[in-house]
Amino acid sequence: MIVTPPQFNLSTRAILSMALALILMSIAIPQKAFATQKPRVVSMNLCTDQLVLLLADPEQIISLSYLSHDERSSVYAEEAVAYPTNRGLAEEVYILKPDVIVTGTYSNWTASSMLEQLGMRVERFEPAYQFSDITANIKAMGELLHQSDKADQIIAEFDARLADFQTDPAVQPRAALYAANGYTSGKSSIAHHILVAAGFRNIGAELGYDYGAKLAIESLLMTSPDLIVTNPPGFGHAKAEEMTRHPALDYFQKNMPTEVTTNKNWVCDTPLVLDAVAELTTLREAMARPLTQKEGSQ
Amino acid sequence: MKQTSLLLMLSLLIFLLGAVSVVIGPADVTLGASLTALIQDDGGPLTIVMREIRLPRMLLAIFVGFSLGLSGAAMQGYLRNPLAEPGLLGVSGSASLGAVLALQTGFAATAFYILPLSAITGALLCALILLVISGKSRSILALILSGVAVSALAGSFTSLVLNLSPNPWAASEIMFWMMGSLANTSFNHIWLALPLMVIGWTSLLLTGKAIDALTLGEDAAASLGINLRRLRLQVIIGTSFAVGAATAVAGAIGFVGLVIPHILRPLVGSHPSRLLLASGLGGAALVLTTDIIVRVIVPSQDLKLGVIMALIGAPLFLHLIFTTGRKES
Repeated sequence: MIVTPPQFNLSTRAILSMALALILMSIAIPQKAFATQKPRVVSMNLCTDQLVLLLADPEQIISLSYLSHDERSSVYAEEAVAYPTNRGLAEEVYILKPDVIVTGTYSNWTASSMLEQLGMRVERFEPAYQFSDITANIKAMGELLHQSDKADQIIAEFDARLADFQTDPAVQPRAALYAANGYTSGKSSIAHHILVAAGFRNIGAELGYDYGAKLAIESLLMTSPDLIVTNPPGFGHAKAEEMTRHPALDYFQKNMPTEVTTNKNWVCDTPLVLDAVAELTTLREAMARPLTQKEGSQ
Repeated sequence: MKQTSLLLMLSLLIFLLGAVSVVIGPADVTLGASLTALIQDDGGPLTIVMREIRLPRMLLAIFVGFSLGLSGAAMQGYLRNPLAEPGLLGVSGSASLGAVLALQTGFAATAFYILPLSAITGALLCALILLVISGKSRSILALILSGVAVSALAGSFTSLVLNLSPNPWAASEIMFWMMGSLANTSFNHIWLALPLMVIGWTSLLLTGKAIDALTLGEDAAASLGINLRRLRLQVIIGTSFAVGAATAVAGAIGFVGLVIPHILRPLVGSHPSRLLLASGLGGAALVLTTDIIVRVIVPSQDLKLGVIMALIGAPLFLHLIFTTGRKES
């Protein structure tokens, strides 16, 4: 029985070479797939949902956050209904095996950290505090999803449209943002920049607030605002929202045609914030007439 | 002390506390300027602040306090139990549940009087449950414990309803409905609650003669010509309307009806009837004081009245349990 050792050697070599081939293939196949296929994505946050819907090809989207279907806060809700949703739980996202997971910096922290530990790629997007953050986020999402051309085109359109707004009109009415619990936004917020781009002055910034702060009704009244922008009431009922409709606030709204509220265009870092600017610009032009008269008479 | 001079002193106290209440607020204005703006329209925002924000808050504190103090005195007189109080017996908590159900189902939005009437219905149901229990057992503590149970039940249902609300802010309002607050009240709240409170006050103030007679025992009272059924109805309707309407606009504020009759009882002597009006005024003074304290401690936040009220009331409640228990045994 002298033949046994070479036989053994042969089979060992065969096994080794097969194993090597398998390892090489397993590295080579995904790399090849990565080169031709764009990454498939799961979004766990309303605002990253919007960026994904704006930029990704339909086959890239595996799942969006459940809020993406909400007509009142999601600007692309109509497109979003075609996709499944998640509630930001680690296990439901993990079994979807996406190439990349996107979420906000301040949302689903526990779940997204766990997914990272499990070896998933997680990309976190900062909320936008100014218009340049919006274009930066669009650019970053474009690169992530291999959609840079599309992103660049959207950014160019956004910048061109933004430049068209007259931000320094002769009469700048003073507006206060007044959300649930009396929260008013300061100068580091998209809401502030929407007001400013529409030719208003933001009372929250006048008061020296950076991101924002809670403002008592009487403190708000003492600033004599020309306009109070509230949030639209939610479903059910909340005293937090009831307070933004305190009858004392009506004394400043007497000259206003209707109650002015924010809408879904204000919520996320999408090019549609400029629709909000356009709506407010129309309002400001309508307000400017009586205000000019008032200041002229003084 | 003479009854009239006590009532006069309490009224004076309410007047002074009311004046302090309207000059306290986050807006930075001087005492003189704010009082001037309250009386004389300055055409600017300060008058609106004084008349539309601070004045209704001060008035509502008085009305809510009056309702709670008076209800406490009437319940204690009727049940001949110094521990009886709308907050402890679950009347306030049940009123909160009624109000929360009306608000979250949207029923309250259908007509303006639905909200206070739902709260009153909640209070009435609680009163009826307690009546059945107190009819079965003569023990003072059995009634209190049943009240605690009803109160816990109403509280958990309130939390459940608010947690199930589609509104993201609703769950944080559990605190308001359980501890009460007068923040951000307007004259709308007063017009909503006051007429119903007045019905409750009238019903309770008219029980005076009957609850005096009741100190002699039920049989003696009946032989004096007191209609005990009518008295029971008056106390239940009166308490439910006063406490229900107050809770609908200010949340459940406990301990007022316990503390005030206890403090005033030595001053009015052994007539429960004299305690009624005095406790109403005392309750008004206590809620005004508490509403001043919460604004002095944290001016810009909405510290709930129940926090301060329990700090005052809970030790007294413990003390009363000890002394009452001793008397019983």
